[in-house]
Amino acid sequence: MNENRKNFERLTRALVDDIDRLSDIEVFQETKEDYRDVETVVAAAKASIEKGIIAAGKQRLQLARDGLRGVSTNMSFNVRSISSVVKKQLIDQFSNHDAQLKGRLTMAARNSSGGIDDIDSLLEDLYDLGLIDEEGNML
Amino acid sequence: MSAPVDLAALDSMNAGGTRMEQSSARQREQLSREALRQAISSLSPADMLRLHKKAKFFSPGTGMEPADLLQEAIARTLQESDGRNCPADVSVPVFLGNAMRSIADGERDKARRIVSLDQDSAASTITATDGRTPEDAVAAVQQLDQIWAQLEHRFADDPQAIAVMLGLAEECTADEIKEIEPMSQHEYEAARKRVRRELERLSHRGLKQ
Repeated sequence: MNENRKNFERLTRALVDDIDRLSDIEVFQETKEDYRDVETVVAAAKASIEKGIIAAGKQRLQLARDGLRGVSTNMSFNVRSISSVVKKQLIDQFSNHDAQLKGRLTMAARNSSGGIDDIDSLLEDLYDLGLIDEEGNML
Repeated sequence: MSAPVDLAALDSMNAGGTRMEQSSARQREQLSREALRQAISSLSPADMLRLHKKAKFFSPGTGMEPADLLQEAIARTLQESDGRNCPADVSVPVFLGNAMRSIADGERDKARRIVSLDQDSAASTITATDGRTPEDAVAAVQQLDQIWAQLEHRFADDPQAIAVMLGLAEECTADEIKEIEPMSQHEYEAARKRVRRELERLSHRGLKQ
């Protein structure tokens, strides 16, 4: 390591504790000597602190969004990759043996806004139950 | 002096009785992320000024403005894994000071690496992932040399301050420094303050205002 850097870091490490030992009055006095307008310095420090808090919040929000997107992608990827023809065949095969399911699918078909999601949701359930594989083949 | 964080008050900030019931020895020892965020948001003006001083202390040689170093320290602290990394018996200004020092050390290493890579490279085309150019890195590295030279020049006629400055840089104790350059405890403390104040003045341009 560069000698001046080593000296600088050791010196600041030793002297930084002195800053913590200063009384509040001494801190204000020294700031006034350096800047005259203490309130402006306090406001600038406060702005940096708030920016740091906001940056951390944004980062955590982004991580949460990425996490949700990842979960969503994993859950729906297999269903969406199945063709509508295969989906129809699967639904027909399962609903022929399940009157309740057949009724739900009829309702879904009548409700054009929620029908596809409802079918996809059913296929995800079938996948989770181990009744179909990732390509929609019956197991 | 900054007071240690009031644990009882911070515990009451934690929402819900369940979390309090789950309060373990570990939670007693370290602040939750939310408690830390609250503590940072509640810093007194004097503590903000202490952090301002520390940011000026640690920023030279990093290529960062003091304001950016302080902001980065807070952002990284609050982003840490589970946020439970601040010991409850350490005051927040002390903890954030340590965080700034750690970031500064890392940034100086980075600047040094960029300079080394650039010197090894035939073409000066290296750019760090954060956009820092070799010229920025060279300027950061040179800043420490300049500050050190200015300190030596400033105290050329002040043997007590030079003894404190060089002694602390060699990790000498107060007694060892006073042995090298005979002075009373009062004179030692006054010289130490002169060095610190000069270092603060030389270290960067302060927070943007």
